[in-house]
Amino acid sequence: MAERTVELASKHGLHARPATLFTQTVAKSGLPVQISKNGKAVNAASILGVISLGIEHGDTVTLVSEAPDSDGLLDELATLLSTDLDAE
Amino acid sequence: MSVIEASQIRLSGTARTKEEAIREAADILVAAGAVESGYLDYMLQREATVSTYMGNLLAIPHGTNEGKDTILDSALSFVRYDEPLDWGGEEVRFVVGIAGKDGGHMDILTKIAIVFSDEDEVAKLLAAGSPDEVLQILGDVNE
Repeated sequence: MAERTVELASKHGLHARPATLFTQTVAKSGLPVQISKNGKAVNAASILGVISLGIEHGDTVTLVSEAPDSDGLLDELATLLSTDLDAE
Repeated sequence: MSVIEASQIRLSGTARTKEEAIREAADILVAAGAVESGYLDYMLQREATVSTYMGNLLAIPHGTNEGKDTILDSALSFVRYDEPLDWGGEEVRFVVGIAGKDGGHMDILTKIAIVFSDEDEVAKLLAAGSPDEVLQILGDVNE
C-alpha cells in the first residue's frame, strides 16, 4: 500500500479543469486510487467524486492506493496537487 | 437572491447540440440577472479548452476566469433534455450552467457534484416531474 499526504496549491481550489487533469491521470494509469479529505474518501478517478470533496486552496488531502506498483503514480498525483494548476 | 429558482429550471430543453445547450444555459443565467450577455463567449471559450462533461449524464458549462467581470451574481441554470446530447462523444441529459460570483464557484460546484455523484439522486432527477421537485433534490445548493 502506498500513501501520500499533500496540500492543494491551486489558488481557486480543485475546480473542474484541475480536477479533470487529476482524474484523467488516475484513469489512464488503470490503478485503484482513493483520495480523501477530512475522513471522506472517494475514487480518485471519478471527477464528480473528487469535486464533491470541495478541495480548496491549502486543504490537506490523502492519496492511497492498494496496488503494489502505485508509488510512481502517487508521486505524479502529489506533484499535480502541489502545483498551482490555475497558473498555467 | 437564491442561486437557483424554479424559473431557472427547464425539464425539456430545446437544444440539440452542445453549442445550443450552452447558449440555452447562458440565456437562463442572463434572464435571471446573474450574468451579462457577454458571459456566453467565456462559456464557449472554456468548453473549447476543456470539456465540462462530468460523468453521470452531466455537463456544467461555465465561463473562464477572464469572464468573471460579466458575472453579476451567483446562479445556476438547470436544463434536462429528453434526448441525450452529444457532448464530445459523451451522452449528456443534464446541462447545469454555473455563474459563481466572488469565489462562490467552488462552493456551488461542490454541491452539484455531491448530488450528481449519487446515482440514486441522478435517477430522481431523470424522473422529476416539476421544477419544484428538482429544487427539492438539489436542496441545499441555495444554503
